[in-house]
This record gives sequence, C-alpha cells and structure tokens, in this order.
Amino acid sequence: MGIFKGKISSFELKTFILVVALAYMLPFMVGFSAYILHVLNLALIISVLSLSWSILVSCGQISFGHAAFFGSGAYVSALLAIDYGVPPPVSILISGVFGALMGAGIGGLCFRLGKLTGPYFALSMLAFAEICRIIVINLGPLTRGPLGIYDIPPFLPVFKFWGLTLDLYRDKVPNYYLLLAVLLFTFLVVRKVRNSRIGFAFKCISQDEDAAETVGVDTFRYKLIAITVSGLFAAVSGAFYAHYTHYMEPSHAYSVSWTLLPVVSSLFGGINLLSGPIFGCLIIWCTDEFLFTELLTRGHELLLGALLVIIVIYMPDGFMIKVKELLTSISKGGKAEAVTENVLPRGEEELC
Amino acid sequence: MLWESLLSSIVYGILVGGVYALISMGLALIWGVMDVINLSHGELVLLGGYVAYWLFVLEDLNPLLSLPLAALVVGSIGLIMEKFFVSKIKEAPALNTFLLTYGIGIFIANAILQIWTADYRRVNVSFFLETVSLGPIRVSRGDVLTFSLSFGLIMFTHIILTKTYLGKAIRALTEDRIAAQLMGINDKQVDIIAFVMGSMLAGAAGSLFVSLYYVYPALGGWITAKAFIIVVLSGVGSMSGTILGGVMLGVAESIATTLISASYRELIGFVIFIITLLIKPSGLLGRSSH
Amino acid sequence: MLKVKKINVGYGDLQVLWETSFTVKRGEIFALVGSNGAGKTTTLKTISGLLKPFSGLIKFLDKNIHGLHPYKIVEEGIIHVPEGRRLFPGMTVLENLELGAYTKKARVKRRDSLENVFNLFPILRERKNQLAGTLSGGEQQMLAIARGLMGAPRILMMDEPSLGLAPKIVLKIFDAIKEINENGVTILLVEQNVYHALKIAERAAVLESGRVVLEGRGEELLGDEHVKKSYLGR
Repeated sequence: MGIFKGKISSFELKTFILVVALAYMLPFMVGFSAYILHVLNLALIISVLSLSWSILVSCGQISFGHAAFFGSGAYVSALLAIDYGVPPPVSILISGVFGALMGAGIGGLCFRLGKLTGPYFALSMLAFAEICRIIVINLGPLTRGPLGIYDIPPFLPVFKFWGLTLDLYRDKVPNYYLLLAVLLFTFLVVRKVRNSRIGFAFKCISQDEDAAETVGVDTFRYKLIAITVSGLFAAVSGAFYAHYTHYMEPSHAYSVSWTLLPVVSSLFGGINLLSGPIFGCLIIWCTDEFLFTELLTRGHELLLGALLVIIVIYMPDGFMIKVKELLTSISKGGKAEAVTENVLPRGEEELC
Repeated sequence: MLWESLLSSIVYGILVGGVYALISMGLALIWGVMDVINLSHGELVLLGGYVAYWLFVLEDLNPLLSLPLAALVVGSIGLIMEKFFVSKIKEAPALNTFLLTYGIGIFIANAILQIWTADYRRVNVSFFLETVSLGPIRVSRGDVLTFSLSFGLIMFTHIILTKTYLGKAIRALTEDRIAAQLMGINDKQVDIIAFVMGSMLAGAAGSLFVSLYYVYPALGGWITAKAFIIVVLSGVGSMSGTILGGVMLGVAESIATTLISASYRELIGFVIFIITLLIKPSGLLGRSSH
Repeated sequence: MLKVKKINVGYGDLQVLWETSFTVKRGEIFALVGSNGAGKTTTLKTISGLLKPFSGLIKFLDKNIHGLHPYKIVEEGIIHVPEGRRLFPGMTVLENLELGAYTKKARVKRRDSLENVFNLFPILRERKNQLAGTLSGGEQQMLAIARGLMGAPRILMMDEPSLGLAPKIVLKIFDAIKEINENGVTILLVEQNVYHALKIAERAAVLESGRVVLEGRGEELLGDEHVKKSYLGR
C-alpha cells in the first residue's frame, strides 16, 4: 500500500512497532476491564478528532469549531443508519464524505470569499459549529430536534447462530482493536500527507503565508486540502462516537468539548510532532475521565481550561518533544537525525 | 401593523445596541493596545452579570447600583489575568495569546457553572419592566435606562481616552508601540491599565446585560462573538464606529427576529457574524483594524 | 556627556555592532555617518533602550544606562527621533506634541516648549489640529523633531532626518538642527547624507560594518581621503 511508502528510519520504525505492540497488549494488561476499555475506546475515537484538528494546525489554521464536523458526522451517520437502514460501516464512510464536503464548503467560504486568517477563521469556525447546532435543533422532523436520537446501531454486528448470541458490540475488546486500527490508519494517512509535498506546502504556509504566496505556493488550494481532510476525519470520528455510544443529541454533538479536547490534546502532545495529538489525547482523555470528572462532577472542563493555560505558558512545544529528546539521548548517536525528520523547525512560528 | 412592529423592533435594536457597543468597547481597547483578542471577554461580561445577580438576590441591590462593584470585581480578575498570564507570553506569536485567553474563558465559564449552576438567571426589577410610550411605540424602562447608562459609560471612556495623558498614552500605544516607548511611556504599565479598563468595561456591561437578558454559563462565547463582530465592523479604537456598529448589529438582529422567527434568533446572530466576516473582514465604518 | 564603550549588539544570532565606542561632548553636534546597514540605527536603538547590548557599557552623565527600559532613558533626557519619523498618524499634531512631553519633567515645561517649537517651525502652529498622517513629508519630519524637543532633551538623537525629503527642505531641516543646538541641546545626528552632516558637525565618527573606523572633527573628516572616496564620490 502506498501509505507505507516513504522514508521510515529504523529508529522510527522500532518505536512505531513498540507502540503498536504495547497498544495490542493493553487489553491484557488492564485485565479486560470493561470500564477501562470503554474509556480507552472513547480515547481512541477522540484521538482521531485530535489528529484531524492538528492537520489544520500544520497548515497554520486554528479552528475553534471542530465540533461542527464532529457533530455533523455523528448525525449524518446515525440518521442514515436508523432512518434509511444503511449499514453502519457504510454510513460512517458517507459521513466522512459529508465531512470532507463540509470542510471544502467552509474552506471555500472562509479562505476564498472571506480571505479569513488567524483569529477571524478560528472564530468563524466557532460560529459554524453553533449554526449547525441550532439548525439540528430546529429541523425536528429530520433530526428529531433537541431530544436527540436513541438506539443508534453499533458498528460491530451481533451474530446469532444456533441459539447463541455473539455480541461483538457489548464486548469492549473487538471494539478496541477495530478503533485502534482506525486510529492507526488515520495516523498513517496524516503522516503520509504531512511528509509529502502537500505537507511541505502546509509547513510553508504555517510559517509565513505571504512569503509562501510570493514564492508561488497556491495557499488557497493547500488550505482547502487541509480543511477538507480535516473535516473528513473529524466527521468519521463523530460517526464512530455516535455508533459507539448509540445516543446523540444536538448540544452534546456540538459541545464545546469537541473543540476543547483536540486543542488541549494536540498542544499537550505537541503539534510539531505527528504522534503528539494521539498521545496527548490518550493522556488528556484518561486524565479527564478518571480524575477530572471525579474531582468535579459538573464543569470538569474547568480543569481542561486551566491545563490549556498552563500548557500555553509553560510548555508550548508540548510534552512529547521532551519525551522524544529523552528517547533520542538514550538511543545511540546517529538516530538523533531520525527524530528531527518529523519535527517541524522549531522557532517562533511553531504555534502558528 | 407590520410597520409598527418593525419600527418598534428598530427602536428595541437601537436600545440593545447600546449595551452591545459597551461590551465591544472593552474588547477593542485591549485588542488595540496589546494586539490581544481576549476570547474570554464574553465570560468577563458574564461574570459581571452574575456579580450583579448575586448582589440583587442576596442584598436586594438594584443592578444599576451594583454596576461599579461588578466593574471592580471583574477589573481585579482582569488585573490577575494580565499580570500572571497574558504578560508572560507577550513575545510569543499572536495565536498563543489567542489560545491562552480561550483557555481562560473556558475556565471562567466553568467556574461560573460551579458557583451559580447552569440555571438561567436574570435580575427582574419590576420598575424596569414597566413600559413607557415613545409615540406609537412602547419600550420598557429598563431598556431605556441601560441604553442611557451604556451611552454614558462609552462617552466617559471616550473622554478619558482623548482628554487625559493616560488616555493619550493608550492611544499612542495602539498606533505605534515603539514610538510610544520613545516618548517615555512605560508600555508594560499602560498595558496593565488598558487590560484592567477593558475588563472593568466588561464587568459594567455585564451588570447591565443581566437586567435585559437571561444569563447562563455557556453564553460567554456568544457574547464574545458579538463583541468581536462589532469591533470588526467598526475598526479598533473608533468610538463613533463602535456605537454605530453596536446599534447596527442590534437593529439587524431585532429586525431579522421580527421578520423570521424567534426560535432562530441565535442563528441569526451567528449568520450575521459569518456574513460580516466574509464580506468585510476589517473596518466597515471606521479605520481598518489592521 | 554620553559615552558609548565597546558595545556589542545584535538581533538574535546576528551581531551588528562590534566593540563600538565613541563619546559625545556636552553642547556639540556629533555626527555618526556611514552607509546603509553599517549599524547607525542599531547604535541609536541601543542607546535609547530599544535594544539591549550583549556587552559593553553606555554612560550618560556618569550614570550607566545600558539595559534600562526605554522610558527610563527618556526620563534621563535622552530623546530619540526615530528613523521614518514614526508619528502617531491618527492623532492631531498637537496631540503628537503633547505625547512628546509625556514624562513628568517635560510635562512641567509643556507650555514653554510648545511656544518654542512653534517658533522654530511656524507651519506646525497652523496645522496643529490636523491629523499627523495628513501632513507632507517635510512637515512630518518637522513634527518628529518638534515632538522630540517637547521632551525637554539634554541630548537629542536624530536618525536620518533628511531621508526622502526634497533638497530645499533638507537645508531647512539642517538649519533647524543648528538652531536647536545653539539653544543648548546636544545633538547626536545619524546620517547617510555624509556631506551635510559633516558640514554642521563639530565632531563625527564613521561607522563601517558595525565598527568605528574613523573619529575626528567634522571638517577634518570632510578632507579625509577615505571619506572622500567612499562617501563623497570624489
């Protein structure tokens, strides 16, 4: 498969294999605890969302409304599956296409018509998310209004044979491996994109859009690609979320959490690192689930907000950079080079 | 009949626009001086509203009287924000402060949720609800009063900015930070003052807001968006533009709500937001913002 | 009066000034000349505190001022009229002048200073309620100098006051500089217009690639072979 092509250094490959092996073993390590696996499954889904957010950031655009894609993906897939009997795997794919189209539409409006940059784009995304929420609430006959949708079918089938039921959905383990595969696939696609010429153009735009324009980079085209790919994966993530939790309502689908989590996770993990958003998200989600929600039953986002403030001030590079530096210093000399391959040049432009 | 309701919605829009303008003034002040778009501005407004609400419930204090207290409380929050957070990352790219204030906004919104729960709150003073006739139109006393107070506060701020040395320093920093330093202006100190002033305006606006509308913790983003759009419409630092921008937004919303449907009221606000951004990203009325 | 001693300055990794030293004496016009990129503006920025030197010291009346915040340095009476004028374009001429007298010391003398600069540049009195951004280039330069004078300077540092102006106006500006000096203000003048600068300067230094290569009396330097060849085109 084309995805696997491209430069892979031995250090990177080893780390990759190690991490995947660890991820494979994880269910055994947590003793198949349904609760822990459930939290982990959600973390995997949200990691896809974080990755999708980081694609846009790698192109220099910050979105404060990824909930627009996430929620719409969830609704499209859920409604197709329930009202039109589309099998969930297909409806999830369709929701991805929907997310991509939505991304392209918003991108066309914001980047071509409005020529919006920085804060203007970020805030218009916030507005798009709100607009989606209000529309979904008010389109009662189609979307079932504010009460939401119940009994969204799971994406893993339930087999019944000889009076026995093999419910792959109820069992958290098959879900875990499936979602892990989805995340892995997303990661490889994102890696492919960011290491390609497109990714290089993203990097140029994120560092200095005007300069990129003057050297002949079609900035609009690349920003459009970024938001389209980003919209696709964000919508897929939302669709998986809907089928996994099988309940969806407008204010949950378009909740500020789906914007906040990718922001905090990606920054925490480090946006200059391909895997940063994933590790950031796994840690943030689990901390949020096991610790923050225990501390504060309502409004646990308070701690996420505080965390964001701390990250921006004290470690704008993210913690993964530190981990990678540590790993590199442990491994032998020539491998230091391999690490920098994935890291964008460090400097002032880093957070753009 | 339609004309009458249109006319009254225009009047109502103008009155509400006054509070909008006041809200946006604080945002514009900080934006202009420090080049920081304070995304927690809406939450600061909310905080002012909740302070006024509390004083009303606990001490039976009229929201108009609690205005200075709300301004003071929110101003101190602003002082903490600038001294301990925003000033720490002045040198970093602009989007960092953007993310920072986004985080602070989330924090404040959820702190409000902890303290006052998610219930809708409003200060209901019977005196405010009584209507007075303005020709064929009837408006509530509260609307007229909050409009006049907003207008007064905007004028007051304008006088400070144009007549005092401090105000001139603030404007000088807005125009050219380096040149301002060469005039002997202590820019860091003026930054703090501007941030506190902007926050106090937010707090004052909040105490007026809570007597017009219901407030709830998630409302902050909506308020920030409105303030932002007015600044975009009017340009940073243009006073007449700010008032005009506020009134335009208020009237547009109010007319659209009358003509279309009240359930789409919020939607209209955001659609206006998007359309404004798409058509004219900077300074429709005043000088361009960047 | 102002002593710059072995300063090394730069932007990040890029060093611009190398062990630069010179002294400005009380009451004189001292010119710092050199070609584009020699480090003249950087020198002024360092004195006024906009840049911090890596090493070296700057003394003003026996007080170390290097590394101080710009506003402290203005309070000492060192006023910098920056390159490109940097007026506040959206404010009136009068407001610009008032801002020039922002420090407490200058604020006390505001009325006298205002009378003073209006006598020096009568055109500004006529334009006082106009926005600074609407003035012509020459008027803007006059306003920039006038704004500097409002700060009650003990030393006035001027960066390229003749830049982009018509020859006739350049002469006017240089006349004004002389007049200001005669009124007792020490002047540190940075110029690319080497001939005019050396003509009015008592003493001068030539800066090349961040180093002082020549220092001496203005007339002497005008006669110097190297200066003639490199800067006067003879």
